[in-house]
Amino acid sequence: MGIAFGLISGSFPSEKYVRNSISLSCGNLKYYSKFADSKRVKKSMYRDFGTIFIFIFLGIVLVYVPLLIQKLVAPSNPNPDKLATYECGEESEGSAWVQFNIRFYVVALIFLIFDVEVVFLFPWAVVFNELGMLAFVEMAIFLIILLIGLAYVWKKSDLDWVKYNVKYGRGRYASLIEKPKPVQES
Amino acid sequence: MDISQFFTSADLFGIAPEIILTVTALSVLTLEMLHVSRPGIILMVAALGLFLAGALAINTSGDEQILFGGMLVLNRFSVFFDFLYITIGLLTLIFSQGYLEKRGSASRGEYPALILFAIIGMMLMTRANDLVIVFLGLELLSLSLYILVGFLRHDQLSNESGLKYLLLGAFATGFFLFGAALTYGAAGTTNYNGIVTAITNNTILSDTYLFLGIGLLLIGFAFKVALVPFHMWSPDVYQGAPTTVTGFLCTAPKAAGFGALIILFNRAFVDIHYQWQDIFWILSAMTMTIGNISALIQHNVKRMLAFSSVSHAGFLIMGILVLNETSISAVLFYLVVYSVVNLGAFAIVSAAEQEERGLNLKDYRGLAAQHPWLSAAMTIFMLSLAGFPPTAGFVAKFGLFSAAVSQGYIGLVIIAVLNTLISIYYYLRLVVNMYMQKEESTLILSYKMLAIVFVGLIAIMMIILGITPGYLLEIVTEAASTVA
Repeated sequence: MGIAFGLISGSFPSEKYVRNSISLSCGNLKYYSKFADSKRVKKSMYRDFGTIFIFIFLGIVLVYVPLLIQKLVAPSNPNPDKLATYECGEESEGSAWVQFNIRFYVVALIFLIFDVEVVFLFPWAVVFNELGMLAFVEMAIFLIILLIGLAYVWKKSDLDWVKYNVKYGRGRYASLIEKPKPVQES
Repeated sequence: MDISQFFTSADLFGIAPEIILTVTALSVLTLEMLHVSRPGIILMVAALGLFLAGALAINTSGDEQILFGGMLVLNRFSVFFDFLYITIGLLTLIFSQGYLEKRGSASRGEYPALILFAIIGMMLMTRANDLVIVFLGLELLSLSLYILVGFLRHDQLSNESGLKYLLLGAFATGFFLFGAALTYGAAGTTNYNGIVTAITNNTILSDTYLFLGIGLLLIGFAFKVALVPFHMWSPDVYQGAPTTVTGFLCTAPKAAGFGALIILFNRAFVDIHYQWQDIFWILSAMTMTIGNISALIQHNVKRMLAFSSVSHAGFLIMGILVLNETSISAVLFYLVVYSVVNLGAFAIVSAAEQEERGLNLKDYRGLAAQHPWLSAAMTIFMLSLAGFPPTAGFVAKFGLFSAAVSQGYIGLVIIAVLNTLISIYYYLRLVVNMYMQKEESTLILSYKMLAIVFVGLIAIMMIILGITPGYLLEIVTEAASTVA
């Protein structure tokens, strides 16, 4: 807090403030003396933290002050139609907390893997000329491993959205089990 | 800029075992894709990969090698652990033959592939010389284990334990990461050598952050190796997981966790050992006592073995606390004996397990009359876990306790000895059930010949090691000398 206060009230933290803040935050003379050994490093680091504190502070102010002003100034008379999720007239049905089909997760996972792959591919492609052959081979290995994964998912028919048979299933999926065998609850 | 300046062919040769295992795992998955349905072929491929990786690991053992600019360190210690993982992986694959089918799951190629990936993760953990690499290995290991634990998709217990393990494990990983971040903040580096330099040169930015970091790292590890009070997941997960996976889960990851813990605390944080030794003392005493007392009241064999493995973690942490070469070699010896014995015990449990029964202590009544050899093997395993003299378990415990006594931890050793006495009760309860009950056993054991041969080999090895432990002692002493 000492730093934040120092930064906001003054322009830059003087050494006094830095020292005060350190002894405050540690509350121990031993640490204070230890910090004095390599003052320079610490000072710059704590100054960086000061910047972060200002940033956080401004972030909070910029969000909450307009909200507060809005709360004070705007008239408030709610009614059920106004509080509906879709004010345009679409009536909402049921709750958002329903069970999703597990297949959404599979698709999301597959998407995520290839999304991340692109994140790795892009910087490599940008500096492709400078990196040379070795990087190309490395990237090829990386892609081959991912392709094996894709082939695996494909072969295991996890890319099929409509499934005609499943290995395990309960309820409405029970009729899709390949060999009709009662699933035992343990 | 040429990328080859960042690593050389020596680096690639150093991680050759990992590369081989990755290729093996991928080919196992490919075989699975091609509908090669005979489990024997997949097992053969996986075993071949493990043998090759082991051979390469031996090849690289020699002087200490620093790879990838100080990210990985290869020495006798890491090679020792590589070997341990490969052995455990191989034994697990052999013991799991036919088990998944028995539990109503299809034989799947993912199973050996995931075990191989877990082994790669563990290898990285004990080769690591950098917190980032430890984290990488830990994640690779954990992700594989989450899937393995919930492998029986139609079994609710397995699903429950998989989810439980995932949620708690992810939480613990968060602690580990926070610890690594704070350590980095304090020391300015995640490299172990860098941390040592920072501590000796007194350029630590803030002692508070460093201690917080050490504490959080310790929590992360304590979760992975199931130390009290971070052990709550272990009985449930061990019980729900497929039994062969439980055997793997309570041996290899525990060894990896202790290996990484030894490297981290005996290399990176060794200069401030007076700051963390007290915590280890308390953890050790609590883990031993609570693990043992909880094991006393279990009726399920898997839960009993789970709590027994918690208490063994308490003994092992004592070796790290003592902090000298003797104690580390004792820990390594203990890890070998403990891992192999537990694998054997779980192999027998998985053979006896049936659809609804075979997991309670009562089910083992009168087993000795039907299966005298298997019962004898189980008895040797139980005696070895309890630490009875003719078995290797005694040598392991003796080494650990004498190392602790020589450094003056008399109080802790007294607690440990008392705990050993308590543990004899529940280990022998199984033996009593097998031998001294008149009832006719109705258990139908299902096993493959190969698995039984290996169970027998383990039992014989435990006796031989108990009488002449010299050969293994030499290996572990050599391995320990590179760390301490």
